[in-house]
Amino acid sequence: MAVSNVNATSQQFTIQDPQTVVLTSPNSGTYTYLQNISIQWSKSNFTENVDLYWTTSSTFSTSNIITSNFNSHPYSWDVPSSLSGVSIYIWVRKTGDSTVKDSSNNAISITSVTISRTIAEPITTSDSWSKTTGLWKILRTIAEGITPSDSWTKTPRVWKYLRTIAEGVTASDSWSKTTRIWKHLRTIAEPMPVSDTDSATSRLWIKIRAISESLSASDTDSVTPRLWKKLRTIAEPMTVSETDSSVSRLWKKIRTIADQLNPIDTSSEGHLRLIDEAIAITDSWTKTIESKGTVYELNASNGDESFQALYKTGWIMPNNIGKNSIIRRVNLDYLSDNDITLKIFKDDDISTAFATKTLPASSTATHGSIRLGTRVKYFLISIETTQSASENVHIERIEIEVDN
Amino acid sequence: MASISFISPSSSTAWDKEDTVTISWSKTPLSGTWGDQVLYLYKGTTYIQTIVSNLSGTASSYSWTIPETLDSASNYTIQVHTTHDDGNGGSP
Repeated sequence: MAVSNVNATSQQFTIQDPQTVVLTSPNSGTYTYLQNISIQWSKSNFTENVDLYWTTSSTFSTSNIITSNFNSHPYSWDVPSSLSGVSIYIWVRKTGDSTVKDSSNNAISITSVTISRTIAEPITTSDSWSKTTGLWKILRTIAEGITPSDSWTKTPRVWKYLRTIAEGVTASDSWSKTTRIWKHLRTIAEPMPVSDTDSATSRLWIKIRAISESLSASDTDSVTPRLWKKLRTIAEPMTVSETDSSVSRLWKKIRTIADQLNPIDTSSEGHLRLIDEAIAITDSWTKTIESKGTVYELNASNGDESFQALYKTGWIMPNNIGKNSIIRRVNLDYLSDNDITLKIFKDDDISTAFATKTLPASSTATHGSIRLGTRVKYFLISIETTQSASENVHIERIEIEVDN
Repeated sequence: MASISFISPSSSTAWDKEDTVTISWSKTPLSGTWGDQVLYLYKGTTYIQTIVSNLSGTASSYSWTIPETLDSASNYTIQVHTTHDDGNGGSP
């Protein structure tokens, strides 16, 4: 067979009416953010719930949800205050299916609640834009009458009124029967005539000037003595010619406890002045003190303080230059609260004693000696005590026995 | 023996009215010459309309806009009618 008929049939399938949802309200308009909007829609060929959104553009987005999976109709939406001043589109879609959706036909403007009324206008409680308790404020001019019958305010009021200095204030002003204190701020450039009606009492004028301003005797606003104060940093130079500092000054320096006071600080090392010393303006206050000394007082009651005695003779040459002698003995009469160490050095060797002897402490005068029998050209005797709180050391006599 | 098998629609297909959908099928063998094709729409065993006629024998799909006037139903089928010349010149 060359040519054959070929037929085929598909499986059974469904043809259905399309699922649609149409936002029927609001499709345009202006609403205040406190206003309630009734969102309405109609849906076809599906029974699922709907989601409601708002967008700022005509492009659908799920970023701003009004409600989701809503199963009733319509939806009452309290416009949030955050949308004040924003134009939005409202969207309805089949829950979870963004292929079935619709939006308001036009942008909807959300405005803030602003309303202005004159006193003559009635304000009824049926005004739909404000159901909550509010505090009404109204500004009146002085010419306006205020009668107790004003229906819009039944509560006590405190009236405040701002006037310029040029305005007259008469006792007959019906809106102000209480005592008032008038205050007026002027700049220095303003003239202050005696005839100012708003200030019949004494006034104390305070003026703050920068140091660069010249202060002339003709300034009418300042005829009393003034004490000028100026704060400087330590880095600033202070010249004698400055007119604002011709009086005596007491210079103080403030340090924090953490500051190290270094001995090289030339302005604060061992500098003592008597209280009646004159400090001239020409003092540069940082003169270097040429000499300095340290004075200590030994205080036995202070455990940190101690005393050590150390006596040294010079080099002693018992014979002519170049000749040796024999030192036989060194005798010592002494009194000491501490042991005494006797050291003998010879012939330029000051680092190592060739003989050493410790003599015991004695509270009464006693005698000690050291036998030597050593040949020397010259020698040196060192007498020292240990370090202690007692300074009681007396060397009564030193005797040296020498064979020439 | 030449045959045709539908790819779409299938038993799970649900098309919305007024939507434009694609009907597709496959033919076996690919060799030989396929004649012009005709697509028919049936609801149950009832012929409803011709979807397209004189469709080229080389085509294996067709884009169709579903008329709004059709009834909603779940027993629609599509038939394709065509010819195939296997090139054997009449030998069995």
